[in-house]
Amino acid sequence: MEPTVPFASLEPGSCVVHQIGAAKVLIARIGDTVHATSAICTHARVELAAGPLAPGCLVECPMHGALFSPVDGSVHEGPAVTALKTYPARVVDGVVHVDVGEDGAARPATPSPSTPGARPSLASWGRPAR
Amino acid sequence: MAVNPAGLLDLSLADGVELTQLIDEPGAHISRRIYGNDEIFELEQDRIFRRAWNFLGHVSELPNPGDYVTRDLAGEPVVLIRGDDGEIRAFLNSCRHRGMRVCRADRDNVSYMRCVYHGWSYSRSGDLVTAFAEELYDPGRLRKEELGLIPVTQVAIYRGVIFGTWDAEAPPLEEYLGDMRFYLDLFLGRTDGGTEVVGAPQVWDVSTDWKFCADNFTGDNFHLYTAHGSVVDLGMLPPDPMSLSYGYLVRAQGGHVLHLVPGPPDPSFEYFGLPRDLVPQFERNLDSVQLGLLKDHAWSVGTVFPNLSFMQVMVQGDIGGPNVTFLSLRAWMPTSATTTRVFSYLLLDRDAPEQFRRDSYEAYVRTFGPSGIFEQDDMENWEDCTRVNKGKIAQRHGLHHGMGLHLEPDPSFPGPGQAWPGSYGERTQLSFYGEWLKWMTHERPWAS
Repeated sequence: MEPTVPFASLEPGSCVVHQIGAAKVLIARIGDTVHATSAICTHARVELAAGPLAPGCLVECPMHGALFSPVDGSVHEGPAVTALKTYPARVVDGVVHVDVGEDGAARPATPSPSTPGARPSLASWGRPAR
Repeated sequence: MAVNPAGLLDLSLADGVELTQLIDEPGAHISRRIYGNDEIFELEQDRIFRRAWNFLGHVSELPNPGDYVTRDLAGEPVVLIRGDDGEIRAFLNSCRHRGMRVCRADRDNVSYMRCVYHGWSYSRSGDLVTAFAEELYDPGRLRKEELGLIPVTQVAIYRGVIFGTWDAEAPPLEEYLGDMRFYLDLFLGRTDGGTEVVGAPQVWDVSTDWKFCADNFTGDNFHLYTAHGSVVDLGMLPPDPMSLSYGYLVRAQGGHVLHLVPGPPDPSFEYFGLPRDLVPQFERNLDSVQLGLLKDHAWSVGTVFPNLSFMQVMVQGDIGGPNVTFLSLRAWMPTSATTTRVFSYLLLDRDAPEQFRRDSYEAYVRTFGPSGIFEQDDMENWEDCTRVNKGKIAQRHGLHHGMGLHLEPDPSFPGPGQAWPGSYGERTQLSFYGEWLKWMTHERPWAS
C-alpha cells in the first residue's frame, strides 16, 4: 500500500485525485471512511475532478456528466457504461494508503489514435457495421 | 480593390484593426471578431465569394434541356439551365430590362426564361429572343444580341459538381481544386456512372455565420460525443467517445481539407461500408493509393474552400439498426453576417444496388437535413456561437484552436498534401482560417 494524502486534509463528502506510479487514483471520503477508485472516467477517458462529491455521495465526470459511486465504482448514471476500477484503501497513522497493484507500474502505451495505422477496436464500435 | 506593391489588399478595418491580427494560424488563435461582423461580411463577399470557385449545383439536377435551378453566387441570384445543345450554363438571374428575376422557382423546366414584369424572353442559352413591343424602338436601338442574360464569368464541372466564379482571372477549376481532386474522387469518381442527387436539395436558413458551418465540416469529430450526446445515448453512434478519433487530418491544398477515419478491423467497415458489389468499379476508377484509402476508411468529412462541404459517414439510420453510409454535399451560402442558407444534398452512386439506395436515403434523412436528429444539435451550437461572439466583452478574448498541434505530418501517408495522424485535432480548422486570411488579404490568393 502506498501512502497518499493526510486523512485530515480530506473534507467529508469530497474527493481528491492522486498519482501513484502510472495510476491516477480518486480518493473519496464519505463520513469517516475512505474509498479509492481509478480517476479516469471509463467513458471519454478524462480525469475526474477533485472537489465535493455530487448529491448522493457520487462522483460526477466534469465532461459528460457520468455519475459513479466512489464506494464500488459502479455507474449510477450514463453515458459511461463501465464501472471505475476500485482499489483497497485504508487510513494508517493518519495517512490514506491505497494499493493500486500492477496499475502503478508503467506499461507499454496502448497505441494512441494518432499512431499511424491504429484503428478503433470492434468493441468500441459496439458491433460490426452490418 | 486597392492593392499595395506587395500584392496585399487594404488590411485595415474601420476601427484601425488589421485583418492580419484576427488569425494567428501558428499560435492557434482566432479572433471572435471574424464572426457575425457586417464589415467582415462585405469584405468576404468581395474578396472570397466574388473571386473563388463557388459550388452551384450538380449536373443530375438538370437532366433535360430546359431544366433550370436557381441559386445564389456571392449573394446574387443565378440560374443554371441546360440548353438545347446539352450544355449547362449559368447566368445572373436578372432581366436586362428592369432587373427582375427571370426564373423564380427553385427548379422548373421551361421553353423560354420569361420575365414576368414586361415579358422579355430569353432562350435556354440565355439569348434575348423577344422584348415587348419591339416595333416601338428606333431601328437599331434594341440590340438584342447584346442584351442576353449576363453569364456567370466562368462555369466548370468536376465529377458532376458544377462550380462558378465571377472572377475572369480565377485559375481553371481543376487547378483551384488541385490535390483535393485526389480525395474528391474517392467519393465522386469511384464508380462508372458517377453520383446523382436524390430528390431536391433541402434548403433552409440558419442564424449563423457561415464560417462555423465550414469550420465544423473541416473534420470536427470531437464535437460528436458532446453536441450529439443524445444520439450517442440512443446508440446511433459507437458508444466509445474515442472510436472516431483514429485516422488522419488532411490538408490537401490550401483551405481544402478533410479527415479520413478508419473503422474497426472488420470487413464490414471497409470501403466506407459501401456495397461490395461496387468494389470492381472502385478498382477500375481509382488508382491504387486511392483504392487503399477507400478500403481502409469508414468516415470522412471535409470542406472545399470556401463553403462546400461533404461527408461520407456511417450512422445507424434506425435506432438499433445497422450502420449505413451516406454521402452528402453541403453548401453554406452566406446571406448576411449572421445568417446562412444551407443546401444539403444526398448523393448516391448511380450504380449502387436498389436496397442500398433506400437504406442510405433513410439514414441520411433521419440524421441530417433540417429535421435530422444530428443537424438540430449543430444548428443550436452555431447560432449560439454567432450570437455570443458578437459581444464586445467577448471579443477581447480570442478562441482556442490548439488541439493536436504537437503532431507532425506523417511522411508515410500515401496521399497528396499533409496528413496529421489522429482525427481529433484542429489542424484542418486552422488550415481553413489560414486560407480565409490569405483570401481576405492577398490580391492573388490562389498563387502559391
